[in-house]
Amino acid sequence: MSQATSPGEAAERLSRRRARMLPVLALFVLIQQAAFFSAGDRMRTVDIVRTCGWLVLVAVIVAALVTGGFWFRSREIRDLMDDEVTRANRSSALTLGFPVAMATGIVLYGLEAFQPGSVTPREAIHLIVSFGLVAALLRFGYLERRALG
Amino acid sequence: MAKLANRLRELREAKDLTQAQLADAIGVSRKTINTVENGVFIPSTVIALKLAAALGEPVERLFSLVE
Repeated sequence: MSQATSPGEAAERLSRRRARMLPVLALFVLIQQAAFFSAGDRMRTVDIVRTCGWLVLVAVIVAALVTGGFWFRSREIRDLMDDEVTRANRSSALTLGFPVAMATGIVLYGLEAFQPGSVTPREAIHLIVSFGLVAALLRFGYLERRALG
Repeated sequence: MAKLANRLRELREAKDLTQAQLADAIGVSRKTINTVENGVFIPSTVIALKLAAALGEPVERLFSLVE
């Protein structure tokens, strides 16, 4: 028989789960990235499916990162999981993710200037999104684990 | 630059409260209490006042500036 838990206990348990999931998601994004580059930038049916899968994955992860995720939990639990500390941690993570994405874009722009055609537009978008997102996920995960003690 | 010191852990333990109990009392997560106690997070004025009220202490006894 399962024991009833208070909203505070449920929020704590889910927050720990989220903190553990964040680096795993970052790894998952990097694996997707590796799969994209190993297959080359082509537009066969299988590549279109893979690209659509990546787009959905990235959109869901960004939405979860920005909103806190766990959308099917009660409002009370989600509010506890999105309290001041979490919002500060998320803000710090996004503050890191943005310059990482910008720096990736700048490096790719420089690369294109010196070696034209070395990176396709789709590859560049992939790298900018993935690097920014992975940086934000890792930072958020680290800060959440530290906060949970 | 001045830093914010706090006596939250000391005053909470004096009231024989766990972090989770204090968190429940003011409607925040235990993580908030933990980070404030460890000096990792500076709470908003609202949370600071709620903490002070829950512990029955003036807020300036809970938080102070150190040079």
